[in-house]
Amino acid sequence: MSLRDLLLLYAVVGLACAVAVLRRTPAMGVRAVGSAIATMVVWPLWAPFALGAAPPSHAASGSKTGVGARIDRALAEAVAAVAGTPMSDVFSPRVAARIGEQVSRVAAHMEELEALVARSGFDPQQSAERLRVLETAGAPERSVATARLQHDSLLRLQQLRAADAQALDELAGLLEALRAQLLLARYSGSSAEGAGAIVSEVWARLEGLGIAFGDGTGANVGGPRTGS
Amino acid sequence: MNVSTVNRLLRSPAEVARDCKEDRDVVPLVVTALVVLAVSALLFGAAVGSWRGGAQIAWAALKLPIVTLGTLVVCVPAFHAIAAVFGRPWSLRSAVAIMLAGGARFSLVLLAATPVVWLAINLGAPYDAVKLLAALAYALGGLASLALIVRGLGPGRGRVATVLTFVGVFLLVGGQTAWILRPYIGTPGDDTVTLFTRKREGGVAYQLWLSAERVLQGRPHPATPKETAP
Repeated sequence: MSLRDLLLLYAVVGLACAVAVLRRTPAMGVRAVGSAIATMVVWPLWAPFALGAAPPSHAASGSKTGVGARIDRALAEAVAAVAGTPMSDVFSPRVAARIGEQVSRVAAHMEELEALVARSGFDPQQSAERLRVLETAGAPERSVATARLQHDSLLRLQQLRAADAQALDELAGLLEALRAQLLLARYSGSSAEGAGAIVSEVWARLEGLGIAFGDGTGANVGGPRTGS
Repeated sequence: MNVSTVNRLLRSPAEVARDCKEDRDVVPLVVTALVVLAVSALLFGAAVGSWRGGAQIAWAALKLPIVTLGTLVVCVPAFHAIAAVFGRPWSLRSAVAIMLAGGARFSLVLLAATPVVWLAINLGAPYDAVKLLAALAYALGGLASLALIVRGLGPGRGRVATVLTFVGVFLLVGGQTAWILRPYIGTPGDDTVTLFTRKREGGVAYQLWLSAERVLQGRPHPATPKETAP
């Protein structure tokens, strides 16, 4: 095989990869064309990124399993339910994307909290045991007070995590109800009044979650309020 | 292209290597690396080609990105395989990301050396000195790149073997690719500008050796016309 044959083969593979990149792109744009051109020229370097799927990141993994997966599925199905109907004003893909974005942020925060709690020294059982030992041994009041403070803080962290997990679970339920409402409205021809109320409730819940985390998420979720 | 990514490549190679290995948000890094590789090689090529001037600037600017990216295209699968053989079975994405990050660091050193090369040429540096200066820039770039790749390989058995095997492959492929697409600086005593030369000149290492010998002995290139000799 000569150098020319090798270059020809390289160009053919590059062209095939570029076509695959374009076919996989949901919306044709400058980025998609740029990616296709880069794939054609340096496919061994760019194709793994243009065509391969990124592994789920640590922060996002929580949002893509369990409750996160339920929320993603409910959002996608709700958007599909109203697509091409007048109800798409009630629940547009943009609204769904913003809700998904906020949910991912909340899920990432929860994951951080879980990782923190999972570390050694953050176990409320251990801190309770330490407190009991100090009290039994008649340790100085200052040491007991410090141990009690530590134990109380860990208990609060645990409660906070449980409350947020429950709130996210309820949010998933709400979105599933929204999806059902939109599907019902679509197939029965009824109005989407109920769905609008649910969308407002979803935003309110997200706001509540954002405030609970105290990261300004709440300030960002004051997004489109529809239907109410 | 992202300036903060360039900054990270220069200042935090260990962090970049870790992100590449874990395949964490590597797409912006890879895009930046590809742009840096192409642009830096283009500018360095133009500076090197300015020794001859005229069309040689454009040819060298065009050929050096091809050499750099072409070398990576050939070497990346080899790196993936070598790392796997020596106990680091990474994903292809991770291997490509580490190589591109290393390549970008290499290119940034070339970019930093570009004004030096251009200044040397502007001050009338002879052919052999320019050739050695370019080789020195490549060597420094290679070291900067290697620092990132070694961090990416991490501790453990097989690290030295991986590095040595890979450096061998990279030098062979890079040297041969560069040799095929020569000339970049031009040929002393020959005013014609050619895209490629097919003269028998003995190989990269041999030519660098001859240049070093002439620079150390203060002799001009034998083909240099007397009036232009230093």
